[in-house]
Amino acid sequence: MYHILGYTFLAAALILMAALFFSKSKENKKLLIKNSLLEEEIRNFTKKLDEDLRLAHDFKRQYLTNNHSLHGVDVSVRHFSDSVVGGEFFSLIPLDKNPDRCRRCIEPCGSSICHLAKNEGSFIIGDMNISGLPAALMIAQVLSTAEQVAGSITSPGKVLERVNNFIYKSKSQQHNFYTTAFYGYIDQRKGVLKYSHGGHEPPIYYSRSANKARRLEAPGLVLGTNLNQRFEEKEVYLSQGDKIIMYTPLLEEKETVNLLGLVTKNIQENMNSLLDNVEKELKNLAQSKGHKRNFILVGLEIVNTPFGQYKVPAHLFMISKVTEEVIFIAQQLGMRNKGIIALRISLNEILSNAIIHGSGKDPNKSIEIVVWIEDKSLKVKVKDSGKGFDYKKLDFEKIPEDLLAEEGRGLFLVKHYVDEMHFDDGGSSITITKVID
Amino acid sequence: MEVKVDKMKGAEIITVFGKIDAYQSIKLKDALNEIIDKGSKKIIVNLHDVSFLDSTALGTLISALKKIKNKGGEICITKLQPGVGEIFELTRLNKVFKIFPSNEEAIDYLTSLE
Repeated sequence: MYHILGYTFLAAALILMAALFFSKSKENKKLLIKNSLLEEEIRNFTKKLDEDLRLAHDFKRQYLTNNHSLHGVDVSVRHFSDSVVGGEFFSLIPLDKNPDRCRRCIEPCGSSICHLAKNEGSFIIGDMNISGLPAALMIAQVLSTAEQVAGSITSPGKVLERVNNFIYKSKSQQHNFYTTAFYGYIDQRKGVLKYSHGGHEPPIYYSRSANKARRLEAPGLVLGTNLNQRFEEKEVYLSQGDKIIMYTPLLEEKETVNLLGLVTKNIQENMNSLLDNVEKELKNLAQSKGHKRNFILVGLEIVNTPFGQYKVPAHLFMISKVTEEVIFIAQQLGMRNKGIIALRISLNEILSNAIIHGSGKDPNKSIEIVVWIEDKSLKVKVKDSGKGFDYKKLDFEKIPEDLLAEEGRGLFLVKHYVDEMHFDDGGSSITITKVID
Repeated sequence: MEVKVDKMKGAEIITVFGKIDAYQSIKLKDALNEIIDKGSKKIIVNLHDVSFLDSTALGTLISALKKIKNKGGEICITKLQPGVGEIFELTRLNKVFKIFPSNEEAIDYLTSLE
């Protein structure tokens, strides 16, 4: 009987051990499965994070290297970035229309793009205290808001007001979120920069004629602080050779880089060398503080101002539009009424010739006009898309002998009213000079 | 640019408002041709409100003058602003057109041709 009990006990023990073994084995299997699922999840998460970062980097690259340009201004942008996508941003904002110009325009173009634009443009630089894809998305929205507003408003203060309101309303989704920004509007026809601040580090403006650099200060709170916040506007008149240097601050503490000192030290260098040296110092500073940060460094150099550059369809109605634009520039330069009348007559003649004779009145063809100042004279070059002609055969010192001739007086009038004129490009371009007295 | 046509003592008075460039000349050309084609032989072009015109506008006026002269008519120009008068003198078109300081003097001249 005892041996039966013993066997029963043994059997029970064996069964228990087997049960325990299998249950542990099942648990291990469950654990293994759970682990492998977790690993799969981590892999997918990392993959998504990489994709998000790539997307965020692409967003950033897109608006940093946009194809916008501003006639007469050279723009250089440096972007220093570690692997994290930061909240710093910079963008040029084109102005397709300007309500002031449209009000003065003789015949509204009726199209979405004014052919006379591109001699005015804006830019915005700023920084946000967020990073990654949320930063890239927020930056895209802020820039889109600025671009939309800039289409109908040139006032930097008003543009920042609208951007401020957008950020204020977005803060409900992102607490403790703030943005600094500096917005500038350059009108090359007047040679002026108007600007407003939203708590951003002031850019440095170097005047070549005065050989002096200073900060472009203006009061203005960080964006998103208050709804309907006002931003003061200031302006500075630009000249050829002037420079504007700006960046997104490296350090979050109050102590900032002495950008004025850095720029002044290197101001005699060309823009590339200047930015190289400033960038080097900024990177050294970041490393010495043990910070890993991103920053954008931007340099604007005024190549020529006041300045106008236009490419318009070869249609007769463009004559008056372009003439008024050039007259506007001449008036900014202080040309008096007599000079303005002479300029108006000359411009009409050379534009007519370019459209009628040079381009066959074909609106699918273009004529190009460049206006600039040289040695206290206004110069205008008009180029048509024709093959040119043998202008040496013309005698524009005289009017046609047949007084009843219906053509042939245009260049005679131009010669009479300008100080200098000459043909180039085989006769397909003409440059006139009018002294500003 | 706008063109207004009035009649006074048998003469058609075309008053032009604004600047006349190559584009706007087309309106002036159409107005002149319409009046001449209707048979008018006495036309006054009043340029009192024209601050500027170019060589295309001069060509338009010359073309109309030749057309009306072929039909035995005449065109007079009146009330030239100084800047525009200078252009007529420079191009010697003041020898081609009869230019008067007022519409009334031009009408008297055109009447005397009858």
